[in-house]
Amino acid sequence: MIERELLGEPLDILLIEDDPDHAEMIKRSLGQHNVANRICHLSDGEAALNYLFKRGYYKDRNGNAHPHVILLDLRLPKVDGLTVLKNIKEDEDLRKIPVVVITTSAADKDINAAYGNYVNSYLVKPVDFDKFSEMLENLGFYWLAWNHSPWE
Amino acid sequence: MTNNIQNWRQELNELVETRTRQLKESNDNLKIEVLQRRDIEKERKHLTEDLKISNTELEQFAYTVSHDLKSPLITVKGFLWMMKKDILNGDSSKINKDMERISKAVDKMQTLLTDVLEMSRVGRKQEEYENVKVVDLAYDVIELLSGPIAEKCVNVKVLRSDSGVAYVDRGRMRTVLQNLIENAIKFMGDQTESYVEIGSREDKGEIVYYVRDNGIGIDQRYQDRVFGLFDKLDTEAEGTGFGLALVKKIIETHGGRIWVESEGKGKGSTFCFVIAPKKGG
Ligand SMILES: Nc1ncnc2c1ncn2[C@@H]1O[C@H](COP(=O)(O)OP(=O)(O)O)[C@@H](O)[C@H]1O
Ligand SMILES: [Mg+2]
Repeated sequence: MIERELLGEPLDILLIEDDPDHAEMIKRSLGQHNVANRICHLSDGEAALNYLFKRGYYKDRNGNAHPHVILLDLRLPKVDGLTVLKNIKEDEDLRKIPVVVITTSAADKDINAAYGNYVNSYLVKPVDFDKFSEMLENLGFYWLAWNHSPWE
Repeated sequence: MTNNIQNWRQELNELVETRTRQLKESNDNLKIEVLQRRDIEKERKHLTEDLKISNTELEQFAYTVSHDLKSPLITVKGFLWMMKKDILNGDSSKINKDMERISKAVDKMQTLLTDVLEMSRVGRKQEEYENVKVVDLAYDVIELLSGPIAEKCVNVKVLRSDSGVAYVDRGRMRTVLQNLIENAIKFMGDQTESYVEIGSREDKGEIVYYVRDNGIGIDQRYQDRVFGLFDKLDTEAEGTGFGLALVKKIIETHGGRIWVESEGKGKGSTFCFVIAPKKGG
C-alpha cells in the first residue's frame, strides 16, 4: 500500500451506496486508514452498471478503465445490488475486480445470493461503529491484493 | 302356470325399474356431491393461495422494515462515534454538520415508524364503504394542495363523468388521490407548462381512474419498483418512498389493481387504477 503511494499511483475505489450518510461514514473511515486514494461514489445500481460497462451517461468515460475494488450496498434504487453483482461477475473482464458487499441485511437469503454470485466479501453494517471501522481496516487485504491486480 | 310366470315377470320388471330409479337418484346425488366437493376444493385452494400471497407479503414487509429502520440507527451511532473521536483530537470543524446529520437521521426514523404504523392499519381498521364519485374527491385534494400547485404553476384539470361511482372508503380513496397528485406535482421536472389531469375512462367493461402528468416520466424497467415499500428512483428527491406502497395496499384492499403507464424518461406518467365492483357498485 505504502509502496503504491510512494509510486504516486492512486487506488481507485468504486463505492455504490444510496444513503449519503453511510457513504460519508465509509469515506471517512477509509480516509483514516490512509487507503482511500480516490473514491468514486455512485448512488444507484443503474448508474453503477453504466459506469462499469461504459454505457449511457458514462459512454465516453475516460480515466482508469476499472476500479481496483468495488464496495457495494444491496438495497439500491433502480437496479438492486445483487443484480449489479451478478452483472459484474458474469463479465469476463469485470469479474476480476474484488467486490465487497456492505449492507444492513444479515438475512441468509441475501448472504447466500451474494456468495452464489461470487462476492469476494460480505460485510453487515453494524450499529457498533468500532466494529465497522475494524471491518474496513480488514479490507486491507484487498489493498494488498491490488498490488497484483490483473491489469498491471 | 303361464299366469304365474307372467306375474313374476311383471314383479321383476317393477323391481328392476324401482332399482334403476333408486340408482339414478343416488347417482344424481353423487354428482351433486362431487360438484360441491369440487367447489369446496377450489375454495380451499383459493384460500391457501391467498394465504401464501399474504405470507410472502408479510415476509417482504418485515424484511424491508427491518433494513430501512436500521439505516438511520447506523447513521446515528456512526456519527456519534466520529464526533467523539474528533472532539478527542480537538477537531471541531465537522461537529455542527455531523450533529445535523444525526438529528436528520432521528427525524427519518420517526417518519419511517409513522409510515410503517399507517401501513399496518390499512385493511385492519374498520373501513367504511359507501358509493363515492371517485374523481370528485380530487377537488378536496386540490384544495389541500393549493400551495404547491400555485407555487409550481401547475394546471390541474378534473374531468368529471357520471359513470365513475365506486364502492369505497372515502377517506382512504382521498389518500390515494392525494399521493398520486402530490407525486405528479413533485416529479414535474423543469416542465414549464405543467399539467395534471384527473379523470376516468371505460376500458373492457371496467372503469379506470387515472392521474396523468407531463412530468419526468418513469423508465419502463422501473415501473413495478416504484410501488415497493420505501422504494425511490431518485435518492435526491424528497420523501421516503412510502406513498405508492400505501396507495397500492389501499387499492388492493378494495379488491382493485394499480399500474403506471409511461413512455419513459421525460414523457410524463399516468397512474391508473381500477376498483373491484362490490355490492352497491
Ligand atoms: N408522477 C410521477 N412521475 C415520475 N416519477 C414518479 C411519479 N410518482 C412517483 N414517482 C417515482 O416513484 C417513487 C416512489 O414514489 P412514492 O412511493 O410516492 O415515494 P416518494 O414520493 O416518497 O418518493 C418516487 O421517488 C419517484 O421516483
Ligand atoms: Mg410520494
